[in-house]
Amino acid sequence: MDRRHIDDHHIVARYLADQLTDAEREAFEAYYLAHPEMVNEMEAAARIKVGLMQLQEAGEIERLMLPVAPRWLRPAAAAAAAAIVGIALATFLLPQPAPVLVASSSTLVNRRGTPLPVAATYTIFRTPNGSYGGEVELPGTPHAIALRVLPEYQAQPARYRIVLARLDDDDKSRDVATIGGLAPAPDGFVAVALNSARLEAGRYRLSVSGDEGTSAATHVSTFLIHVRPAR
Amino acid sequence: MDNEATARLIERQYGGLLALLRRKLRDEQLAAEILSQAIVVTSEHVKTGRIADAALIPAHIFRLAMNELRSHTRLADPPNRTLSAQALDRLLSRSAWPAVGTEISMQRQVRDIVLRISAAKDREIIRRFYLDEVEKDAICRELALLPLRFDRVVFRVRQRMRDALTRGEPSNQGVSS
Repeated sequence: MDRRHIDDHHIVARYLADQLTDAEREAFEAYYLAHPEMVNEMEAAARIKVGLMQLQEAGEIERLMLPVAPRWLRPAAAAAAAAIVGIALATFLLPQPAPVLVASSSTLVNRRGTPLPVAATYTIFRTPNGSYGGEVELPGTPHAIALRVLPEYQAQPARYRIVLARLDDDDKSRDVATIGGLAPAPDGFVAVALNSARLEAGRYRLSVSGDEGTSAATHVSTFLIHVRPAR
Repeated sequence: MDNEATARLIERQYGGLLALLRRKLRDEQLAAEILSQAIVVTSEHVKTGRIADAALIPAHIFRLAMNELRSHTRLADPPNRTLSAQALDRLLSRSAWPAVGTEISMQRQVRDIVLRISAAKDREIIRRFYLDEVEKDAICRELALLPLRFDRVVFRVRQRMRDALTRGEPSNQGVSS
């Protein structure tokens, strides 16, 4: 194995992902023990991986994947952006409502930027006959409410999307929030968090599917939740 | 060397490795223990002459830590921890280790790097390859890409992160365009 082979076959990233064969791994380890400058390559690749994991947990990864406007459109986009600066400035000064559904409870903060405390963690199960898979109690003050659900289908790559919908008395649903790019925990459960300050008591449905572009994008597992008002 | 100096050294040399261990193992204490053990074992090998060239120390530490990680993630029954309690106490002094906040800095750095990639498909390559750990052939097939384009994108991102490290740029600063 030489440097050319390592670069051409992306050996460093595959080594960190434990995707090399035993023979490849042994050859690569022998190479980098003789060429210690490779440690910088491995450290750089490790930082890329960890940085992306952090972005995913913060719920930023989907936004980062969005297309950027083509160059010919950018002056127009800039003009449009300038036109809305006034509106943006005005709204910037107003407190922005936190989302009702987030990937991680750590991203829910109060006005001082302090993370909201987690009221409880609920594991929501699929149940037959329209009965609730989880009873969630709204806390009296703003809290994060952690939820864990187990999708029925394994998505490849392992990324999931959750839609939270409110159900009215006629079982008509209204989508409240959607979040994608969710990675499952090692036990297969997908975790999200609700913002109690934005959540009303009532009946809700969580629809879990594979994210766009995954093998389970059209498969949906649904979970019913009853959110009870604060005592 | 005091705890602060040790923390700086570990963050500079092994910040990414330590954070990766934490992520893969989902156990902060175990990750620190594995890296500690790799450092202790390597230093013992230096003392006994098994490692003669000091320049090779980081590579040996990396290999030991990666092998230990593989043992823990592949085996249901992970190997016994062999580090002495005294060595652990010394190395696991919490103030001697980079805080988890270091990972937030890596997040900022990677965000800046990704934002400099204009094509959405190229960003998707980075996500699938480094985050989802999908192999190159599958990514090229699913995204209808030429392998050359995949190589170019991955090389560019790798180069930018490597440049940041080589410049000794603190990980809490963005990569300017």
